[in-house]
Amino acid sequence: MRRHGRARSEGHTAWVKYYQSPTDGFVINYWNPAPAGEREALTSQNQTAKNWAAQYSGVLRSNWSMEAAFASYSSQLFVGTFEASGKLANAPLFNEADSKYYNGATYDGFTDRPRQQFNLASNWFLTPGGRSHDVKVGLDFQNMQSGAEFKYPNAQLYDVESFSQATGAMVPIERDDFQTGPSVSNAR
Amino acid sequence: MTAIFARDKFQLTKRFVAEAGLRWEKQTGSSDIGAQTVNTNVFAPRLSANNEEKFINNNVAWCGATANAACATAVANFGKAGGAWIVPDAAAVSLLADLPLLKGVTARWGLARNAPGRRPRARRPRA
Repeated sequence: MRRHGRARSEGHTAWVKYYQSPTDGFVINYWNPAPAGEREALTSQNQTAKNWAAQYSGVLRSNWSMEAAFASYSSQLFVGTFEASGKLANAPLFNEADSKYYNGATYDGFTDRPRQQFNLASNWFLTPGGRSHDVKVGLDFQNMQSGAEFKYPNAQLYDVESFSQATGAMVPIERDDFQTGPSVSNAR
Repeated sequence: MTAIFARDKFQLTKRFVAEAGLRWEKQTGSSDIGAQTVNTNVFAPRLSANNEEKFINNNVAWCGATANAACATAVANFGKAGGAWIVPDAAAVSLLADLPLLKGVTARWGLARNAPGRRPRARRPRA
């Protein structure tokens, strides 16, 4: 989806743009090399980019002009449960009997890499002593972040000796619990 | 990244333009465990000069320091005769090829230096 607007008046121009590209509805078997044993073991994936930008430039006086710009970019991906089983808080389990995964998706998480930037500059045109000067002063700013979190649904993985798809009955071996929390790094 | 800059572009003579500026730039970064990965603080002075020698004015080719009637005629008639465009004759093409310059020539000298006020330090991530 794209949206943009533009306004002009004598000596002034401003525009705003917005863009997003959602690509939703992927269903992926991320279990590898062991296959998913049922629909509940598949992973849902949605992804998008969201960008918007605005800019102004104008002549404020006969010898003074200014420009300013702001932009925000974001690239996001979300993964999670495709079809909830309603059992074990949708955590996946590995069935040793047939070497397949059941009950839960491979991933529950996201990646997000937002970036913002801001630029401001001004020009003055002067003629001190009859000599022409173009003086420019400005400010640039940029902020970036990279964040990701990938975990099993409910941050748990079951290892079972046998599992019955029909009844949900299983003979457990062990349950692994994982620490959760996004990994986020920053730059500015 | 945060940067502040200022520069002045000023005319020294009719064709000689100089530019002087200073940019301060700071960058910081942190890892997912909060450890600082980047910390730079840079002053970057810039100085440049530009001298423009123009050999084309008002779309008229410069045919030498003194008047060169043959050159001027060749330029004026290049590719046309009696209002209709034609392939230029060999003599005109040859004459035009001998012109010293048909484009503006710009000579430029520049100087830019990054002077780190504080060098980036490698930091050991916390255990």
